[in-house]
Amino acid sequence: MLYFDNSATSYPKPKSVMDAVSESFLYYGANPGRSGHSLAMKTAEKVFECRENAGKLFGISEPENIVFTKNCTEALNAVIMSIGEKGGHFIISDLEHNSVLRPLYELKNRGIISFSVAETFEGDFEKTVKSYENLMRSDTKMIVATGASNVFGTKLPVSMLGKTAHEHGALFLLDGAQTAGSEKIDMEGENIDFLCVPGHKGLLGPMGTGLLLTKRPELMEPQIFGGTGNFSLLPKQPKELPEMMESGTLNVPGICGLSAGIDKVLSEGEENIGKREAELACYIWDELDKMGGIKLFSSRPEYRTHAPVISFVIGDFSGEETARILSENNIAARGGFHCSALAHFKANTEKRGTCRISVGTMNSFDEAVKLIKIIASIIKNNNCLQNNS
Amino acid sequence: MIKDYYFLLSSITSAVKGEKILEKNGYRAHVFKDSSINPYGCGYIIKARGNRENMEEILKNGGVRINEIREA
Repeated sequence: MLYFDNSATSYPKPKSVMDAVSESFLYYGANPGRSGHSLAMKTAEKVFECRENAGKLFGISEPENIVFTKNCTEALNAVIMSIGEKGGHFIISDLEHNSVLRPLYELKNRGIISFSVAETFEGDFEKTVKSYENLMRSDTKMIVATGASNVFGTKLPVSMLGKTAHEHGALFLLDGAQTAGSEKIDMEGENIDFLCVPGHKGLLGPMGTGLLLTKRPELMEPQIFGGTGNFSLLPKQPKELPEMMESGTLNVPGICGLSAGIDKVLSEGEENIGKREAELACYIWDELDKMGGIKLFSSRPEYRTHAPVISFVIGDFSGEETARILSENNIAARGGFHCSALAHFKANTEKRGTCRISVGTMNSFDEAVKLIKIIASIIKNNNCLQNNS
Repeated sequence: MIKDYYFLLSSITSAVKGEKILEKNGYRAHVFKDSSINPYGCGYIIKARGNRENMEEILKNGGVRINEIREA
């Protein structure tokens, strides 16, 4: 199979990640932060090592302000609910994933908050920032922005938005789902108060892992209550991060794998990874652009302005049908609406959807060449272009 | 005065963090759990040998919240 669905989750995982998960069952099999025996202590140190690794990658020096979640969505919900439950106004972009839109929509429906959607302008960072600025109000609490659209790859001006938020006394939450591991993210330098990332995409860890990193721990509120291993005799949830946000047993095998994934990203360098992915994506985009019978919805995915994501359809097929045809030809890509209503309404693709090819660090140039050959042969074969669903 | 001290913390993360900071600064430190010594929730304790004031300052500068320090 040719796997080009890395925006959903990266595959295959590096061998070091698979080994780390496997070894966790042998060497880190006890519950960290609960017991005091040597295996539990060794596991706790391993878990801490992952926090330190994440801190190194994202420029945060307090490992205790790094919370393990089960994915990026859970992390985003935790921040939005913590900040949003006290009311106020939020600004998001017109490219946000449902994991940002839906919690805000829920809070709005409960009558707690209001939010505005800022128009973004592909490649024109200043115009995009201006668009956010025009929506700022005296009660604006937080700007939320994705690092890059998961549908069209469009990158947003993260540092400029962080600066804008702080200049207006607002907080800045970055959804790093599509950029963590392939772009330098510096929480300190880019005025990022909250960073939410999946562990299983660009960080190359197992599914079921995610991270919430914050420079404003005092603003967090627990979303799940229960055992944390501390203050066990008190009914009140302890306020101390990270335990406050990590009730219940941690996903230690996942965390061990995630730590190995972050190690790989640190050793290769996120910008090197991102630029290599962009080269492959640009090659694929150029070849698709030359082919007849392809409708491209995303721009050439150059590193500065785009994540390595290509949205397209074959002929008159829908995104879902295009993905099905690719699947029948042993290519893994994602069709449909990608959990991103806002992005599809913006691009007028809300009826047809798109098929998304997303390049990852494990993809090779040979795979990209094979992908293009297969798509070219699908297009040449008129029979395949008949919708037989 | 050089002695063995117990640093009583309120979470495993603080305990491991503190242990690493002390070790980086040349102290011998290790974490263990004993709720009868540490009543502050988690029961985790850093045992370290050295000058109390110096170690306390190093831990505080590193952002480790200490609930209590006792002679071991």
